Amino acid sequence: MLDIIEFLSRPYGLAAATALIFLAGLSDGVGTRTVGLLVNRITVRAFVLSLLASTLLFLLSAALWVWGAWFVATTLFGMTNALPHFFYVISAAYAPFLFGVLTLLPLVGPLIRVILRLWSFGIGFTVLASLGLTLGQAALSAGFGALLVAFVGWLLSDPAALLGQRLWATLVQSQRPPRSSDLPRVIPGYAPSDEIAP
Amino acid sequence: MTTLFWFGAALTIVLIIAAVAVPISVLTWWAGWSRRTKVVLPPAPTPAPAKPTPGPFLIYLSGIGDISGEYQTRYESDLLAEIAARVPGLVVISDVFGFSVQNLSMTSQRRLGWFWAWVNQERLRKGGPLKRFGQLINLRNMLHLTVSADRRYGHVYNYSVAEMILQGLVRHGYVPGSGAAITLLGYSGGGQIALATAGYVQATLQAPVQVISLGGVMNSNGSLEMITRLTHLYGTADRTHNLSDWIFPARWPIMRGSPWNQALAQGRIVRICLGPMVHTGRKSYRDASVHIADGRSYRDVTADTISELIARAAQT
Repeated sequence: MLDIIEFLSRPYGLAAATALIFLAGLSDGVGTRTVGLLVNRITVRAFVLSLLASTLLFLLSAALWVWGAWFVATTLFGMTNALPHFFYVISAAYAPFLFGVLTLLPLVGPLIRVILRLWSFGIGFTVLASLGLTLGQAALSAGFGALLVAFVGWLLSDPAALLGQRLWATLVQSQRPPRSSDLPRVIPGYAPSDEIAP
Repeated sequence: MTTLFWFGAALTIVLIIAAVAVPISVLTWWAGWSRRTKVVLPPAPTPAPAKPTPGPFLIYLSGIGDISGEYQTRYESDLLAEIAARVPGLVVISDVFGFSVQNLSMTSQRRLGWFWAWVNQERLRKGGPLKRFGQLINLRNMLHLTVSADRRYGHVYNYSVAEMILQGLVRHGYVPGSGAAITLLGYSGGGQIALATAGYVQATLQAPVQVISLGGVMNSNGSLEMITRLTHLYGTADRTHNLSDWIFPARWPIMRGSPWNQALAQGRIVRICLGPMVHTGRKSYRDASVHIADGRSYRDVTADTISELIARAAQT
């Protein structure tokens, strides 16, 4: 762990940290969004655009979480680390999401997703503690960051949903992204009274 | 030791890539990214003819050792022939390959067809040094089975295979609307495919559909809420069929609300013990060389039970 922190503390650490979170977000996006997108028969171009958008959102939410945790840690607990340093050190917590693509594995995928989240949480907690915070302070800092992400998400949920719907309608020509469980049970072309359009 | 470690690591990585590639290939096919042939919808169904409808119909879905709809072991062919001989008018359909969403045999695949043809050749070679490579076929089909059983991919996969089954039924003379009874018989891993697709077949054709699992490995599938009945046939020496009791959490007794446990409680799942059969090979359900006390071979016992279930379903 200390090796990673030392590595990330070097001058190019900020870029490396951003790249790490970006790749983690991309892998997580592939793991979690592929099914929904492909079930809706999205085009390759729209698929790539959606993944890039989700990766950027992942990166932004990571930045917000880091800022929230840093704000509490410096304001309440007297930590003196500068934000960039804090950012690239704490980015190690996102490393497990590099394996996010494994969420696609049949049957065990959802379990892997939970494991990756717990693993990430564990690393984040350890790194915060290694920066001089007590376990309680680390928990409060991380908790505040998570609350901040949730709050901003809630605040922007309506406009984001509207934007998402419009984007979806433009890309897929459909009002609502159906899930795979929405597939009809009746297969067109074979029903006795074949009234369902193919 | 180091070589062994790296070999193991490389093998694990290849396995993981293959396991991820299977659902991806199914989804990209569904999305139309990798569709090679244009999907041709069948002609509009004609009204039911006045003459008696043919049938009943039996669709046989083989286990994970299968490579195509056409390929069958001698054991399988003989068993199906025995069943057909016992049920008058039975139409047996065995040319549906349940481990492909396009009913495309493994040897017909564009990129890996040559590889699977080679593996199958080695597998069938008596005493061949590379015989064990045949396990790759099992592995490949097992991954498809997990895709069918996965809640995220299952709908797409099972919908697509069900369409292949419907095509098979129509191809063999099934008239939609005739109400002829349909039985999906799945052996081993084919049990999962049979059960998972049965709901779509039933909902589409509005005909009585039953599933018979011969030592089948099946998840707790939503089809159970739609089909007439699932009959699970097993042998006391078959260790494979028990797998699904613990690898699918929804089948655990504590999950009382699951489709499996609901169907079990309502008596729509019937378990029948055929005798001391093992899962595959000698002394298996399809072995005609071993006999029970009354003189019938294991294959006769299996054929008798299956044909009785088909005949009973056709009468109701």
